[in-house]
Amino acid sequence: MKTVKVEALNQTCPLPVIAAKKAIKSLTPDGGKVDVVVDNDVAVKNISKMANGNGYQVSSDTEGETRTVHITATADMLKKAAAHGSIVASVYAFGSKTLGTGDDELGSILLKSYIYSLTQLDTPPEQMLFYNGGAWLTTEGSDVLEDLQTLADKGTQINTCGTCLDFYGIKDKLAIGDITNMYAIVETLNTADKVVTAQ
Amino acid sequence: MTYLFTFINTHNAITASHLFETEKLPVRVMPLPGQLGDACGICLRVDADYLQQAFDLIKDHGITTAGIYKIIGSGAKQVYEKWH
Repeated sequence: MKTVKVEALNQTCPLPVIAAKKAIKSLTPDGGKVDVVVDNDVAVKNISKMANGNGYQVSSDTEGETRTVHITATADMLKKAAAHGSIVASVYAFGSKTLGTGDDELGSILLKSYIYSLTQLDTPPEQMLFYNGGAWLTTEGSDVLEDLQTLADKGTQINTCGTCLDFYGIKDKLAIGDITNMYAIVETLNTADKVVTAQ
Repeated sequence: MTYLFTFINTHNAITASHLFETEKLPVRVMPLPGQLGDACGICLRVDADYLQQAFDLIKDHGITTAGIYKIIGSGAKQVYEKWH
């Protein structure tokens, strides 16, 4: 089985994910293995998420400061991933900590009410994306963490823009879900069946 | 057990929400359930442990509630029993 090694040390997200994707693509059509060498846990998480989302086998190990993500993509897996295009059924995007424009107090209370209502849906959102001011919603001190946890328990994937967390200085305060990047956000929005933007 | 505070208008709901938050009283927001009326509204959920404190705060600050309900059950089977 063909094995491709990708060195992605000292690279910040989303570069390791892009490099991993490129290497997986090079395995077409026979399949094979890709080993991605990185130096941070966020990269391991994002690469694993991408690989899992496409139905590939994934594992990782750590040796000192370096981490290696092992991806196995058989010919069959590659065919299925290409056919499905990793479609997400429904995505709810949050670009602000309030809902609507006008009065911020009203906007804040409306947003809490909105997120609670999502917990009551028979089919919860498959994915929720938080960016810009929306990043405050997934971090410590947010009033909606309990509802977001309910959604996560029902299987909703919660992702927050890493650039935004960094900008507001709250990266270490992320209380739920994972960190994502603009490439992954755009890809999710582009392949989703339904995108609902809370505005 | 959780209780639901409903209000005569959104301004009262927002004032009560702020008041509870200031007093560090755990409160969660939800839309007015359909079976409690067709008015568009915001209501507040408070755990039984904080019910009396919430009730007193609202009374002391002259906030007008439309009703206070005990929430029974969960999910789609939730029912609301009038408490005050």
